[in-house]
Amino acid sequence: MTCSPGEEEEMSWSRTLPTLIWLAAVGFALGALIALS
Amino acid sequence: MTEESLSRRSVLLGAAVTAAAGVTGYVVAAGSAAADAKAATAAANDYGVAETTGDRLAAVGDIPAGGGLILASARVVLTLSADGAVTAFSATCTHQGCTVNAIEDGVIVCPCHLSRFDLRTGAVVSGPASRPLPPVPVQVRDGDVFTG
Repeated sequence: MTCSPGEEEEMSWSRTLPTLIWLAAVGFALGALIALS
Repeated sequence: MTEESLSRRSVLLGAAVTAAAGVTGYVVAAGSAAADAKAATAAANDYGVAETTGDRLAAVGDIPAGGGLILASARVVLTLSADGAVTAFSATCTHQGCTVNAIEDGVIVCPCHLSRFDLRTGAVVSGPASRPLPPVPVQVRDGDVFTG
């Protein structure tokens, strides 16, 4: 089964998104920590 | 399952997202109420009274001669010696920060763990407290006692 280029890109994003969310959460927490310290 | 190596693009994207979120978190936290400076707590200023000057505490006539008057709201114990001198100590027990609430036989008593402090000097008489009650500067003007 082969995927079209559009489907491949969508699958790539769906794999990347959880990591990006984690990175955003960590960054947010670090920023808040620096602001409050 | 195939391994995917990190591309430069994905690393840069992740770093950018982290940085943007960090800036957002900083701005949100800095503008929140949690970042507001709080009044000095009793422990933070070494169990002394928070720094305000010029507040009227009580009339000298309210202080029993040879005894003391506890002002819980101001966290101050006022004492009046036999020769009419007014002195003041912090009412915050140096053990765990409770407010003293009784004066018995020349001794200031803390209700939490029964630390006792000398009424004239603030020195520890007995109890788990090991540090004396710190003195609080007060002024007497026109028969009234003021902080400062």
